[in-house]
Amino acid sequence: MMPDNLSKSGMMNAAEVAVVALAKLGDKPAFEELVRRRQSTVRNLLRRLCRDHALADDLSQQAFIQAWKTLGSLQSPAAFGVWLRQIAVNTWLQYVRSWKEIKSIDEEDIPLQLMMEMHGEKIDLDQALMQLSPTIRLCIVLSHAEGMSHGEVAKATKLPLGTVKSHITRGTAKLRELLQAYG
Amino acid sequence: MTKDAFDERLACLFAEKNEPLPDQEFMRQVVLRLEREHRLQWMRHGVMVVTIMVIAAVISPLVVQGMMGAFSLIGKIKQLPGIDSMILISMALITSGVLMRARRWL
Repeated sequence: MMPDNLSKSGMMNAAEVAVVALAKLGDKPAFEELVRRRQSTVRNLLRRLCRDHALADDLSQQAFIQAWKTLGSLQSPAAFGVWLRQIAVNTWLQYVRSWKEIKSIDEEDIPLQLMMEMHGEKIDLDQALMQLSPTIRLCIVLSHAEGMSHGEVAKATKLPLGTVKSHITRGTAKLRELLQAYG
Repeated sequence: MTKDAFDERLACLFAEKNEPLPDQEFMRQVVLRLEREHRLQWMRHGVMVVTIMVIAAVISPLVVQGMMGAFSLIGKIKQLPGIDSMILISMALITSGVLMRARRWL
């Protein structure tokens, strides 16, 4: 039996399953507690996928709002983390699709070498990731940063398993090349 | 660098990037968006209720007229020679069947 609501300190110490169950009932403080607990994970995932931290934070907020709207459809509170990550991935994929439609020539298209010369700095992981196409980047981040298996990445990205494996192999090779050349 | 060593280095680089981020400003933004979403939801519900009321106000006289017309038609049909209640019930069943089918097409 679960209490209808918890105090703020009680909420902070409560198990995530209990907080998710409360949020599913429409408890806003419970959902805010979930945002507080998960914000770093979601923002870091999206920061690896976008170069712009402000954009990553904006997409993270969209993901949390989407999560609030569809929390009722979550079957098992224990799967909240995986479910939220899927929402974040979908939010990013949706952004990439709309971005492709309105894509204009910007810094993204400047070759890395030229960019390095312009800024005169060593390459960082985020900059190396930006040299990969959005789909390959997504596969690499989910596999290396989130520790997901190839099968899980295929499921999350809705790509065929063979494509995911090839993206991860090619992306890792490219990252190795970039990080060894400049790192 | 070997493949395994590079994979390990990559894992370390990703782990370094996974630092906890300050939550106050982010939380404030999410709460603001949630409140805006809540207000929008109420507005949508309000618009829906008003629309339903307007539609009901417009179509209710038509429904009443239609029902009265249907009753008078049944009355007229009943007066015809050779029509009994079984035929009326069969006709009602066929009509409702046709209407159900038409609803599927719509």
